[in-house]
Amino acid sequence: MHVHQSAETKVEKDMKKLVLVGNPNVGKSIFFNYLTGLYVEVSNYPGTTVEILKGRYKNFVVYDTPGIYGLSSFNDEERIAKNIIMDADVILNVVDAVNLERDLFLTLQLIDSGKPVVVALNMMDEAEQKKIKINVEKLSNLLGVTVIPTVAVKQIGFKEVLNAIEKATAGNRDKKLAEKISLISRKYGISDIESLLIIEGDSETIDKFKSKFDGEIYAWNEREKIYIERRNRANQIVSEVVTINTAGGKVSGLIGRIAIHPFFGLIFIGVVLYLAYLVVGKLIAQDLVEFTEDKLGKQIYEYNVRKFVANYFPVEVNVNVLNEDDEIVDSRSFIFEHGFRNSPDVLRKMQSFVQGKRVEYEFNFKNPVLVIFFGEFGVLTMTVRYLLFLLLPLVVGFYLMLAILEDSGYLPRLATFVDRLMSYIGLNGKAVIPLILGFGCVTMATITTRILSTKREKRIITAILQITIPCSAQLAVITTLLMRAGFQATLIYIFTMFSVFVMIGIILNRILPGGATPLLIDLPPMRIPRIDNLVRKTWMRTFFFLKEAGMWFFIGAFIVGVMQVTGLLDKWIQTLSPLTVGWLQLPSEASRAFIMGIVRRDFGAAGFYALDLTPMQTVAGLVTITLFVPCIASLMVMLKERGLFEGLLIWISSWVIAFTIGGIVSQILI
Amino acid sequence: MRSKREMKRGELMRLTEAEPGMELEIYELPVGNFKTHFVRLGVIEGTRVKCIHKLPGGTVVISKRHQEIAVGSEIAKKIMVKKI
Repeated sequence: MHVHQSAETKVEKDMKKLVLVGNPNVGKSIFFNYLTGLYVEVSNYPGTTVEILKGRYKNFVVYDTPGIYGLSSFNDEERIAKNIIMDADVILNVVDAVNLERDLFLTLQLIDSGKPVVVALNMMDEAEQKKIKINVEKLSNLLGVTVIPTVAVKQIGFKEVLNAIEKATAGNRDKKLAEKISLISRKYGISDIESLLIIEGDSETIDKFKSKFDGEIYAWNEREKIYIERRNRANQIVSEVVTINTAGGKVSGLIGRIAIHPFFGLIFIGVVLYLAYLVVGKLIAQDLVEFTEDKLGKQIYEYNVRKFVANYFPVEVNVNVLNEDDEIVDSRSFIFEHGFRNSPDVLRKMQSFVQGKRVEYEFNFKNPVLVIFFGEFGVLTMTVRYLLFLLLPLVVGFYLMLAILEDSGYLPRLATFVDRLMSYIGLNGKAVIPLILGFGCVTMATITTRILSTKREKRIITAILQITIPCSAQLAVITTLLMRAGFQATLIYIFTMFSVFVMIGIILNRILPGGATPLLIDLPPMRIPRIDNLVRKTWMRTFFFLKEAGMWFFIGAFIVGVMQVTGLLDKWIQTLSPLTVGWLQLPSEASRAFIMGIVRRDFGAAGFYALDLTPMQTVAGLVTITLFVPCIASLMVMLKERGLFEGLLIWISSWVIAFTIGGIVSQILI
Repeated sequence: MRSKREMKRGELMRLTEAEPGMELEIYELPVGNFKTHFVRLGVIEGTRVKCIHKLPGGTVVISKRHQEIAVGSEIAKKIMVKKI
C-alpha cells in the first residue's frame, strides 16, 4: 500500500477494532495469525500473550488479548485485556467446546457489555473425541449471536468466522441487568461496558469515576449476585445444548496425571531436567559449540576478517606454532609497516614459516580505531564470534526447550507440584512460571511477573529473577565453562546458587509485610507440542535475542575497546584488583568481565572464557558474575515494571550480594 | 435447592481432608475474590467435583467434567465439601 505515514495512522483511527477474547489455551492465537498473517506466539500456559499484538484484517485493526476468565482487574493481564475490550467495536470470542461451561461465563459477560460478539466454538474435534455433542444452532439462539464451530489447528470454520465478523451483532443480554446498565449509562453519561463494570464492582472502573460521582457509585456494586446468576445461566445453557455420551471419563491423559502425582511428579521433573541437560548441556554446549566457536568463529571468521584488514593497514602478526595438545611450541613475529599488500617480502617469509604447521595468529593493529573494531575484543571480531558462534547455537537450544515446556502444558502442572515449596519464599506455585522463563530470558520473565496478583509477589520474584537466575545466553557460557571445570565444580556452583536463591526468597518473605496468596489455577490438558509452532516460536525469540542482545553486545564491546586504547581499562583493572585479586582470588583481568557484565550478563561470563582459570576459580568467578547485575535490557524493563526506587534498589543489591557471596565462596574454596 | 435431609446424609469436611478419588459436592466457598474466581471457573456452591490428587503440601487438585483445577492448601482449608 502506498499510504503516507501520517495518513496511515489516520486510516487506522477510522478503522474498526476487532478484539480477540477467550480463556487461556483456547487457540485464540491461531485465529489471530490467520486473520492478520502476523506472527503471534501460541502457547499452552496462562499468560503468554502479555504484550499486546496488533495486526490488520481488511478494514479492521485486530487485537489479541491475554487469556482471561472474566472481565475484571484481579491481575495486570486482566486489566490489559479489559482495557482493550472496552474500546472494541467487534469481539471475536474464542470458546473451548470441551470446557464450554467454564468458557460461557466470559461469553455471557461480553454479551452483557452490549458489544457485538461472534463466538468461535473451537476444539470441536476434541469435543467429538470426548463424545461431547453441542447443539450449535440452539446455543446461537440462546446467546443471540452467531456461533461457529471451528477446529483452529486445521483452519476448519475459518471462512465462516470471517463472514460472521462483518455481520456481528449484539446478543441477548440479561434483561434486568441491561435495564440497570442503561439507567446508569444515561445517568452518568458513560458507556454501557463501563456501567456493567461498575455494577460488577470492578475496582479500576470505580476508581476512574469515583471522584466524578462521589461515593454513590459504590452503591451499584452487586458483583456476587450477578456472578452467581450468570454462572447459573451458563450452566443452564450448557444443560440445554450439550449432551455427553460418556459418564465422566478420564480427565487428563496419563502423562498429565503423572506430572502432578506426589511421587512420580518428582521423577518426571528429574527426567525433564536430564533431557534438557542431554540436549543443551551435552550435545550443544560441548560438541556443537566447540565446532562453531573454535573452528567457524575463531579459525575461519576472525582470521579472515583480520587478514582482510591487514591487507591495507600496518599490523604486527604473531604466529604461534602449536603441538597436538594446543600448546605453544614456537612463536615468531612479523611486522608489516604498510599492510600485507605493500610488504610482499615479509608476507612470503611468513607463509614459508607457516607451511605445514599447526598455527594460530595474533594480529596487533597499530591504529586505535582498528583495535576497537578488529582487535582482541573487537566489535567486529570477538563480538561477532561470541554472538553468532558461541551464543546463538546455545540460545536456540534453550529457547526450544522452553517452547516445548510451554506448549506441552507442563508449566501449570509444575506450578501445582511446587506450590508448597514456593510458599517458603512467600510465593505460590504460579510464580514458578516466570522463574522457569527466566532461564530463557530474564527480561521477558520480568514482564511475565504480571500474571501474579499481588505487588508483594511481583517484588519477590523480580528480585530473585534479576539477581540469581542466569538467562539462557549466560547459562550457555556458564554451562560451557562448568563442563570444562568438572563435575565437582558444577555441583558447588549449583548448590551455591540455589542457597542464595532460597536465602533471598526467605529474607524477602520475612521483611515484606503480608503473605503468599494461595494457588487457584485451571490446569490445561497436556498435549504434544506442534512442531511448526515450536519452530516458529524458537525462531521468533532467537531473532529478537539477536536484535536485542546484538546491539548491546556491540555497544559493550565498543566501550571496552575505547577503554582499552585509552588506557582506562588498565586503570579499571587496577582499581578493582583488590576486589578481584585479593578478595575473589581471580586474575586481575577478570575485572574486565565485570565491565562487560554491566552491559550484558552473558557477555560478562564470556569475559572469563579467555582466562585460564582453575576449576575453583571458575566457580567463584561464575557465582559472582551470575549474581552480578542483570543486563541493561532487563534493568530497563525492571525499572518500568517496578519503579525507579525499587528497581535501583534491586540493581545495587546485586552488586553487594555478588561480591559478598563470590568472595566467601572463593575464601572457602581456594 | 439443598434439602436438609441430603445434608444429613453427606459428611461435611474441609477440602483439605478429602481423599483422592472421593466424589464431593461443594458446600461452602470462602467469600471474596477467590469465590469470584471459582464462580468464573465454573465452581459454585452445589457443584459436584472429584478430588483427584492431594500433594504433600496440602495443594488439592479437583476435577469437574473435563476440567482440572489446582487449589492451594490455604484456600482448600476454607472450602467446606460434602462427601457423596
